[in-house]
Amino acid sequence: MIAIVDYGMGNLRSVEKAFENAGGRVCVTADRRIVERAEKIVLPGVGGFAQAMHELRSRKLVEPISSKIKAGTPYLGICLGLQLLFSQSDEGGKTRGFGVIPGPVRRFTGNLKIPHMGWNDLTLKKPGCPLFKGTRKKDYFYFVHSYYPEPEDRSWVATTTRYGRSFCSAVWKGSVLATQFHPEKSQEAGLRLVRNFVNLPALAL
Amino acid sequence: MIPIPAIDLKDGKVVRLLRGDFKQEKIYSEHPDRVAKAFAEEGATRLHVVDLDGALTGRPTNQRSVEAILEQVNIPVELGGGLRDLDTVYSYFEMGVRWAVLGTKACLDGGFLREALAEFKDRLIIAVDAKDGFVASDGWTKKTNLRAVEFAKKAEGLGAKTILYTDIARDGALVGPNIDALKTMAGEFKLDLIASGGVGSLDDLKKLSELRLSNVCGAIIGKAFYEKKFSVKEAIAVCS
Repeated sequence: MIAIVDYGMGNLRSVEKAFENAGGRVCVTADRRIVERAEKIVLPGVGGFAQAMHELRSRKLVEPISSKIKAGTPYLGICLGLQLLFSQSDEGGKTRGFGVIPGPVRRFTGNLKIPHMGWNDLTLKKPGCPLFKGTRKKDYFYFVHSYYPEPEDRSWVATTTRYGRSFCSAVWKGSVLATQFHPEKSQEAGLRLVRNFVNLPALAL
Repeated sequence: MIPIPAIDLKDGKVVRLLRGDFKQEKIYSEHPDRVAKAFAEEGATRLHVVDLDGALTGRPTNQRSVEAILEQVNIPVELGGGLRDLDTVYSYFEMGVRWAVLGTKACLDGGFLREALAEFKDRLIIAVDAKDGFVASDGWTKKTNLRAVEFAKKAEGLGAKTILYTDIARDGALVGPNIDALKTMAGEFKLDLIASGGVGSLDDLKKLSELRLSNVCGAIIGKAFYEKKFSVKEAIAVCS
């Protein structure tokens, strides 16, 4: 069973629907016991990093999710679910995240419209990423975010995208996968990613 | 119950309307962010921001002001006005808005209400804007044939956690809240209620607070603050 974690930050039904369409057996839940038993974990979410960590803590979900990630349970982070993997965010005065990926999450600066919202493409940086199996050069994905991740260890970077500057738009190492864009809102190209995640073997890659 | 200061935006300015009438507006400030900061410094723990142009036209119009407000304050902000599709709600959440207030589209389109609640759950506040017991839409310029109580029931059934109940006839009129209607609503529903419309004096707020309606979690206060009938500090003291 794939647990889609409801920690009060939304982005739930669209993700659930995409996973159902991809043939996944899913459960939208805020229950830590269900998270602990899950074969795979999806962390969606939209909005503030600090608020998100607060909500996760108040539901006692930080520890179970961290342990699952450490144990090699396939994890897919979407938008906030990617950002929360990082050590900290500039938002709300340096809030700490899961700390799985060293580096900060930063706000777009300069003369850009924020949030970065709409369709954009990817440059694949890391061959063999199971999430992007079948992804084509001309595939576009749907973004809505004001912050972007900056992994210190560039070997995490699975894809980059340009918005004013080039930023890391997806990460991958082992069983940890995450996208800054929303696969569930990215039509066929996005559904392919969801299917790829559903089809991953349940244990560590 | 907490007092929630309201910042209504029209053409980038802070205004108050009388009973939602766009012809009866009074401009209080050209700097919404300063107004927000002042409320926060006085101790407000939450702000209610409305994009009036957005409510009327159905498209977000005062985003720059909303952004400026979010940059100035750390307290959570709820925002309404012009939220008629999920992408717009997404963009406001990404800007840092904590709760989105859905009104018009939610009452006119049951499918949208269902989808939005399934997507965002607790982060939505469903606005029940009542005029003579019926829901009003489109910046309160149109009256629907949906009963306010029925709409609230429908929202509750679909998983809404919070209802913002506004008595339009009292909004901006400083005549006191509709205690009877609130009692009925509070008795009939388990979900959280935010009361809006009519609070004109510290006494009004005290009466509301003394009802001890456990599910009335907040009271929106607009004109009374701008007309300096009482301060945020006094409001907090009366509420607790």
